[in-house]
Amino acid sequence: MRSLLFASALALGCGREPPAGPSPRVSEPAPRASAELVPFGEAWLLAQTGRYLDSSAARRRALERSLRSPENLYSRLRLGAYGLGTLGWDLLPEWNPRVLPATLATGEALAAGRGLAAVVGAPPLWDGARPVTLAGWQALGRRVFFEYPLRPEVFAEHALARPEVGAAVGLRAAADGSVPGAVVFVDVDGEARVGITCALCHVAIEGGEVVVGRARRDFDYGGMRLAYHRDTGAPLEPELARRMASWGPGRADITEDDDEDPVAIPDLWRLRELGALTQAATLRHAELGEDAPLALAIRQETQLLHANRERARPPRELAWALALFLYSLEPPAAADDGDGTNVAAARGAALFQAHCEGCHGDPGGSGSPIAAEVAGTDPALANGTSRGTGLYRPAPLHRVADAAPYLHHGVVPTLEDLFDRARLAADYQGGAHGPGPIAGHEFGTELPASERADLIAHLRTR
Amino acid sequence: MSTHCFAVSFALLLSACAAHDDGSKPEGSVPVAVKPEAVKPAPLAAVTLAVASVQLIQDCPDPAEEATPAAEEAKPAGSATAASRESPMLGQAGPSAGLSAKRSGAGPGGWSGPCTQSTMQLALRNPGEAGATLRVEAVRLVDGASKRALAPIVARKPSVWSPDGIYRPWDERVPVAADLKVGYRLAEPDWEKVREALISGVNLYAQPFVLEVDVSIDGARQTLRSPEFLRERVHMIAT
Repeated sequence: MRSLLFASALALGCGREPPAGPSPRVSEPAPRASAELVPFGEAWLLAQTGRYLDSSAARRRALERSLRSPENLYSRLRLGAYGLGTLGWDLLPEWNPRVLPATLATGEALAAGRGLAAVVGAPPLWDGARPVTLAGWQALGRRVFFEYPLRPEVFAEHALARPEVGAAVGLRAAADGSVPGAVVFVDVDGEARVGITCALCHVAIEGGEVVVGRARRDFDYGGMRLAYHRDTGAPLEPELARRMASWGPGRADITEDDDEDPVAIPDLWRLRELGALTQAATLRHAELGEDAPLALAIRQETQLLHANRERARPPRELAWALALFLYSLEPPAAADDGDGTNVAAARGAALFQAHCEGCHGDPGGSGSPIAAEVAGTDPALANGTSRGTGLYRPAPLHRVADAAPYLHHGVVPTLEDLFDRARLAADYQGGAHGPGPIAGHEFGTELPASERADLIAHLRTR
Repeated sequence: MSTHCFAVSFALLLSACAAHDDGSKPEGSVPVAVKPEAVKPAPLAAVTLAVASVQLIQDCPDPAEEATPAAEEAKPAGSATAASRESPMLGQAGPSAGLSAKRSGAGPGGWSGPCTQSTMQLALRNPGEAGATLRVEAVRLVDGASKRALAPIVARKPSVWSPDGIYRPWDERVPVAADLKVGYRLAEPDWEKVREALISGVNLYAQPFVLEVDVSIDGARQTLRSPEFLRERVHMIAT
């Protein structure tokens, strides 16, 4: 093993990278080559695989191209440490954790004080075989999405052990007994821990079934933390407690700066269409062409390693698999399929084209980022030192009727409120997070009531 | 300096890449010659090393079974004192018992707040012909812009990444042909002194820092410099 590691290190020092992780093996027959490489098609995506996995120069280039504002904290951290080859995060050990999905039984075991020892005998998440088909990558990526720990999370452990807390904050089981977004894993110090994964925020549970990619809008991250402190008596600064209480379900403040700028958890559908990643358009995406999937994979890789306190990094195969899995996520069918029989929706489509497509002109309803002052919404996120670019990404509109509350910070409770000028007034009482005016995105509020209704009818078909 | 190691040569690093080296060796390399024997030249250790990452968050008590008087003495004033880490499960030997492992702490219910340990990670290679011993002699927090030293930081509890994916205690020996990923726990610097040394009103969470690490390989000293990093908020939700 040691000689293998040494050989790998030598290869790294020579400017070429060794296969990452536990000696990747090819486990599937190779797909037939496609004559035409359609962007985001299977052959096109597979053609980018080697650039991401085996070339630090390609990754570095994609990183630099993707970061819109090199001076914000998110960018500086990555530019200072990623893709350098001989310094920084490239030198971290690869961590392929032993992990088990959390279930109702996990919570019962915790509540009974029986511990988490079963995970010690679990196999590592990845078997070391590098997939060669898109379906293979996506299957691996699904496991990463549901199982790769973002970090140990004592707050989730607490909620898992106390069903009443879990139910109150939105950490609960699906019909099959699984608790999406929670895992038990062996951490890098050898401790069995409860951790959280991507699925905690980006899987909804509706009627007991999981909806992958839909924001879990009833998940109250701040409430989960507060419940831990309330129930255990562990101290918490009053100001921090106030902030967490202000988030409410479906939101969290994820920025590195001092600003109070919680954001709504986004849906993750048809990411391939997006010109920008994050609500503040922190990263360029679709316009990067062949670097777009690398940019998404780097986003995931650096998130996983940063969230795990930079003590190890995920095997790149897992970050790549996660990116390809995310590209595969499609929204569920809309209640109104827009088949043309809804006359109001048809009128609304024309209104959308006339009034909205200037910003929401992409196929998925997003568009080129716009200046925060043009959007007019709370500028804290767009102008923040953390991830700010001075811009906001127009929201994608897949299943927008199911995506309330609206705006990047999740403050407008309904589509009707979004297009109602009443929300701009000082005496507005309907805000999702309390009374007071909700500024910005005045587009459409000037339309007559009948046209606003038509526009909303159209949006319900998207 | 070890009495067995008296000379530092400028011998070229022995590396399989030597014939087509593109300069991509980890930064900081110390060729170390051990004391030559009468007839046969002593084998060379040729350890190269670099800083992989630094996270400054909190300083937490070491797990009880590992704590040593030296570690306790090394902690600066203001370090966390409660028996807490990020999880109440931590600090137990082997697989944890979960939440039943209630611990004493500062809260009215006997619990402490979560605590996340500051750490630095180094990468080492020794393609030479002899083993070596590494020591971290000093660690300094440095202003990322001016590169001015701001405050010392104490490093403790060396650990090494093992093939089973766990950091385990490390004796700071670097065997022949080793490729090691190692980590140290870091105390917090005196943040008030850091603040005083920087411009007035600086936000210590938005201030880029660099860590300078003085290490010795069999007594030969060199200084490593980390990538730029930010002080991390305890409650940060990294996404």
